[in-house]
Amino acid sequence: MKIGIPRAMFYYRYFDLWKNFFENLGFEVVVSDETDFKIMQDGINYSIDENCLASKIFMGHVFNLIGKCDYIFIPRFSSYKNHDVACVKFNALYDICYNTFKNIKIITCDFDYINKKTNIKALFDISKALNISMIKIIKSYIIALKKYKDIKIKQNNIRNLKLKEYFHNKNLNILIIAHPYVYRDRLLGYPVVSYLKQNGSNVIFADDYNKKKIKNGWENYSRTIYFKYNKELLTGLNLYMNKIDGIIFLSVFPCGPDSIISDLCIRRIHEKPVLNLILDEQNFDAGVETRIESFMDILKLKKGEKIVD
Amino acid sequence: MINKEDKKIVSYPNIGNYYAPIYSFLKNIFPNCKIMVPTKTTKKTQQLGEKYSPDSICTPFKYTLGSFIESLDRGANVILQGGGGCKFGYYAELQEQILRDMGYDFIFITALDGDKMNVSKICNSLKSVDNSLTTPKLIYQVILTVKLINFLDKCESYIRDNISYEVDKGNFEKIHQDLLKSIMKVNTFGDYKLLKAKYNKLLKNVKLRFDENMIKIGIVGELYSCMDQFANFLLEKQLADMNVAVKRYTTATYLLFEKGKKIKDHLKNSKEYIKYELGADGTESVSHSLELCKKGYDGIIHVKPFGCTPEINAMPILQKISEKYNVPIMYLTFDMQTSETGIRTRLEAFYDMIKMKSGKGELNCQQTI
Repeated sequence: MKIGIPRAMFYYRYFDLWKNFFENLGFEVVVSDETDFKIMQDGINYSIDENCLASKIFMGHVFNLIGKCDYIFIPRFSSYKNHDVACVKFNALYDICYNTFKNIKIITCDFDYINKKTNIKALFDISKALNISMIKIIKSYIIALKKYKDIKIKQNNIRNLKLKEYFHNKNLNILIIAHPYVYRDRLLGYPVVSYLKQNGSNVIFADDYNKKKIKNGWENYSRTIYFKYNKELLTGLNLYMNKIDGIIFLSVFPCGPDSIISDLCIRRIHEKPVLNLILDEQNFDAGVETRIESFMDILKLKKGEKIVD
Repeated sequence: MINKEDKKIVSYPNIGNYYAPIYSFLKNIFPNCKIMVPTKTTKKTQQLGEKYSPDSICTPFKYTLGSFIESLDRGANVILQGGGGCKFGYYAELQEQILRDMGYDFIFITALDGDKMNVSKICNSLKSVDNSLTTPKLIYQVILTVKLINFLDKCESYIRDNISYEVDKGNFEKIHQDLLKSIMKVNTFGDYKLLKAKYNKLLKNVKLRFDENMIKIGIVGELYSCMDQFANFLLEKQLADMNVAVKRYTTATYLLFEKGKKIKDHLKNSKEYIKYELGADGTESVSHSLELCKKGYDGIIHVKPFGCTPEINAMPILQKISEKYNVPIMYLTFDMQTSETGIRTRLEAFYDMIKMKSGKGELNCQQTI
């Protein structure tokens, strides 16, 4: 039996874990294709106009999976420890897909710490839906979790080496503050990141740090923030602040949490140049490249380099 | 900095008709301060708010920021703001930062820190505004205000249910305006009891003529656009003028005291369509729409400000409900470009469509075929 996971939103956070989990149970895991214009257009067709672009792309990926697998896995994320919450969009992805697409089979589970929907309960939901014994589910979850931790440790080591190299060479160090589902998306963030790299800058991502070890630092930028994903970005910002030359806020239109927090941060960051880049369905490549190019020129001038025309 | 000797002028954001009970509350707990009622939301308020707000933030942020700027310009130096779920809990911090960046000097008090309530902290910050405030007095006034809000909601929902049936047009409107004025003068529970008796009697005395043929429309959606008549361009009044009976669930009483208890029932009611909570008022929108459909309402109007994620989440589900029960739903999104004429045109078209569908009421325009 095949389980499909859409390559959008939570994919970038938890894919390694869920892939191992379902494979341990003996399923085949299918991932939707990389985002392209067709997937985006399908997503736009299947969603309400005012949705944020990331969630429209999510709908495109779900549509892409229809027919390729037996079940599509769409969990719900609502709240975490310490009163942190996920963006409201994550609350409703399952219900939206269930009501929008006809004849699709969805496996879902609920992660809502504040309302006492813990991981165990989520696993119980899955065991009920797939009709597999709870013992087998927990066993494969524990094995998957172990593997997931190993992967994280490996990633940490690779990142540390990379950062060491970045901070020693003379290239511009640019921090990108964006959700992984934006900057790792083939259509949204990838062109921005690859353009920066092609032009000789080191790109550091704000959510790329050891989340297990470093938990504080966001207080320096916002007192009352309770959006989990943005809190992590601010922690990263605080961590890398002194070692970077410039900051790019990368968000999609119209992202609620990002719109408030980017604005607040821009008002509170005085020492580093900031570029606020908002991506939407209309603008690609040329316009974005011009803005990044001039931003890089400013950073170079500030560093005392000469701009070569 | 604000000197200790300066007279403090306290202002708060506009939300529907609740300016009246909030005024009476503040007036009673801060006898040494002047309380400034925020001016009615106008086009200028919106433009001011829009100018200084981030682009894609939801519209209530812009309205309240605009009303703060207007109050500060008129001389206020203490600003109160609430807090809650979704993005609302985060308004306070950014609004304070924006106003400080603009160069205003003021004391900013928030009811909630993010979405967490800290009672002792609120008490202390309120006491710092006026030294004469004591805890028993605060508790007394909080209970009184809750009663007032409760009573206001009851009267308003009675008026809303019956305004289209009144014999002499304008009676309810007049009583409503008087009620708001008298609520602002209430000081004690004695006053409240007198007020309650007086207005209960007045409202009962308004002559009504019931009409089976009246078109019935329910309003569901986001709380601020539902409750603030300036944010929704007098939606309810416009409907009442067209002789439509209006039903609305969202009131302050509901949000403060009933929402927490009822959320499980809402999920149960609508389990055919949704499995989880959609965030903020999304679940209620679905459940209430289902209830309206089952009760035989002729149409539903779904209101939301631009950028309201929970209500956008609810929209595909509402669409499905509308198809199943064959009840038309109109989606209204309020943003900076919306105008009263635009809303009226859409309302008239919606009214005529329902009228043709159901065969009730009168057509607004003369049909020539």
